[in-house]
Amino acid sequence: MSVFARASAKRRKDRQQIEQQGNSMGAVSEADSEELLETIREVIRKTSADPKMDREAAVEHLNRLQEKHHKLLSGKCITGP
Amino acid sequence: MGIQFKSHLGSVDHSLPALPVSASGNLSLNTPVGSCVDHYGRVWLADTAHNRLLVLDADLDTVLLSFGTVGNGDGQFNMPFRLLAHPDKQLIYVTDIGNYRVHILSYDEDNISPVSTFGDTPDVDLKGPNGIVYYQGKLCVADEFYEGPDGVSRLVVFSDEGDYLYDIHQITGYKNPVELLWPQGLSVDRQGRIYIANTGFNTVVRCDWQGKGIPFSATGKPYIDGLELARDVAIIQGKVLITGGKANAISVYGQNGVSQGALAGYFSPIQLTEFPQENTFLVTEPILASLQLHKANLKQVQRGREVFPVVLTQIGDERDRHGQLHFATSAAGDVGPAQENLPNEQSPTLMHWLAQQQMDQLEQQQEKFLKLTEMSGVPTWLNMGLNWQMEWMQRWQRSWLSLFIPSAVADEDESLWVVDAGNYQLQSTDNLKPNSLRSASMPLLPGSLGIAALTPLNPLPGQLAPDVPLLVVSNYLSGIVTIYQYHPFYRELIPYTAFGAQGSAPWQLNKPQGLAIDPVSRDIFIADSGNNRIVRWRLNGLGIAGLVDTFGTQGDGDNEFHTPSDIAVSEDGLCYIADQFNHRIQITTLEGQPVRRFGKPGYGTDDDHFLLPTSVEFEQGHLFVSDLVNRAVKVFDRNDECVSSFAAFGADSSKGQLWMPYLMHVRNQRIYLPDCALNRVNVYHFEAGDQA
Repeated sequence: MSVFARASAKRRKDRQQIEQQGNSMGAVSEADSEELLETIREVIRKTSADPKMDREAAVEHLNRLQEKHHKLLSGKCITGP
Repeated sequence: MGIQFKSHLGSVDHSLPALPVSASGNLSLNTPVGSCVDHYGRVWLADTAHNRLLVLDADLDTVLLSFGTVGNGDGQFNMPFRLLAHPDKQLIYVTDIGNYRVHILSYDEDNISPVSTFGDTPDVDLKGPNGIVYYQGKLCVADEFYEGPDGVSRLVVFSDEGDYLYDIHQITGYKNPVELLWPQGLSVDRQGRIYIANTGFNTVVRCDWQGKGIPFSATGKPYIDGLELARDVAIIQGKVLITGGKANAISVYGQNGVSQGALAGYFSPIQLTEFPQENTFLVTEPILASLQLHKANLKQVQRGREVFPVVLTQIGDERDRHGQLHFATSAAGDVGPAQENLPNEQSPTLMHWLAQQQMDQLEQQQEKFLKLTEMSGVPTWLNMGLNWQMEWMQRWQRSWLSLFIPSAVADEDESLWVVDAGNYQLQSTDNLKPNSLRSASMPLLPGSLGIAALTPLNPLPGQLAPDVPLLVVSNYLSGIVTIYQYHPFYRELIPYTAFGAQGSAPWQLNKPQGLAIDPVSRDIFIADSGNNRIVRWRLNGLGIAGLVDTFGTQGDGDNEFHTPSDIAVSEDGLCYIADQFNHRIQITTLEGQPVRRFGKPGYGTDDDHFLLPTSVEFEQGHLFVSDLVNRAVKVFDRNDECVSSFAAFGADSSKGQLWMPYLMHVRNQRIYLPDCALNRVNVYHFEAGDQA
């Protein structure tokens, strides 16, 4: 077995331990993530219900959506690859 | 037959006005890594992906000197990485990781002069000089990519003049020897004990200068364990600080090995350097393209407490200049209308009408802005704002026009969309020139990572521009996948539908990365990396997203994954999965039944040895694999034989070199490979030859 396989096995073990501690999930909680999903769906509902909505109003919805995500995810980082 | 580097996207802007110059507003950094403080109290910074060193005053207000260009000659670098100031002499050591050597530079108040380089001679042959420390006349260098017995890395000890002394291949004195794999940062304490960020094993190891392990009293082990990652280690205020030890934080340990807590509020820091002022230290944030000076009393970090340091100052402009990328993660092409659906010149359609409307509107808007800017008495700030607005409008609308009438503005075949994650936007290009990328959307949601273009088999209800494919975007941070459509009246991407959300239930996602669209069914396959599985979703005829299936669990057997990072789906119904941390490619049916797997962990640039294969694509009978640690793009035939490859480690933009390649896109034998550390997308051409 190479050092790469041994390191992989250790990383898997580490990850299982982190999961057991309940810390394996990503940057946001399940509840926060659900809330973000709901805000996206709300924008979809609004824009699809009124396809002729004023562009500025639609853009405002999109901006608010982005701001909400940004606020919640502020300081979080994409750590991959 | 082979892979040739053609060009890159993402402009390189390392120009500086005449020095000295204010660091504010003049300094664009590109993934800076190393820092140190010299005898004059000045700060040196390795602007790594720009292949230069910068010297700033002690207040980080002014750029005093810039040194180095790309290359392998005297005073040239290929990824200058870590910096170390000699404690007694006016010398700076620079690990030049892409040139496999270490520089010794001398300096005075006005000049920097190359003295010598070492480590690249055949008897030493460094493979990846990263961290470097000094103690009592000796230097120790972490040789990150050295391949010793079984693949272990090494430390190499030199005199302070660069004479090779000996290697350290393993850390002895504990129950079993402690192996090194991909050691990055090093540090020494006042007793001269070496601390090693042993990245491959997520540990920080402590040893003496002969490689004998020095146990931490709390555990009796010569290493600190339980870290999320160990990117670097620094001894500051007598504490052991580990960057990467915890996400978005710096882990703080006592020298007895007991966790004290963390410094919070970070992004993805690398090197920490103690600063002369009380309780201060320098932090490089490569992904933020920033160097920061922080203040924190580490005595307050105890009993698991998180302390937010005070940010005293930071340098590095936003990377949002024209054509610049900031953490480019993925690319998608094939977003133009399908050829058979292109409107006929003799029968104008709605799309042509829309395009014409847009062009007319653009001209009208330009006229309005021009009139405003030509008015006398317009304040400078307003004039600048109007000019910026007009320019932004031009490039934005041009991008969208290329979707509708590609022949009018560009070769449709060359259109490409790039997730510019750090700037929260999509950028697009239609000509593959380095500075041709243009903003092309409202801000994307933070955390956006993977992208794929999806053309439904039939237009979907509510799809306002069916000729324009939907864009499927995965969000690494929130676990949400959003499908965007182009809205022809808003002239904007808007969400069409969204699904997922954070979690491990079948319908949830955890750190989703690469995406693939089944070319036959148009189902969406997602590498659900945090859940160690693949998930399959489908947009039904009503445009409703539904979960079809999930497959895979954590492990290294059949149908088991360890952080799958990307997936490709072939027309004959096979899934090719980058099983990243198992260093292999798994091939399954669309339903997840194992078909075969291949790849062995190890160094290799033209074979089936992989180290963290990160991205896969399948086109015209060939599997393309981006192999992260080997910095290689490898092409395999249907027998899993490597038929071609391109490998190059470094930051030379003219040679297609790679540092942190991420999610690849292949189309019409062109390979588009975003590199999130170099902040560019390399474009290669693959010629299949006889074996196609």
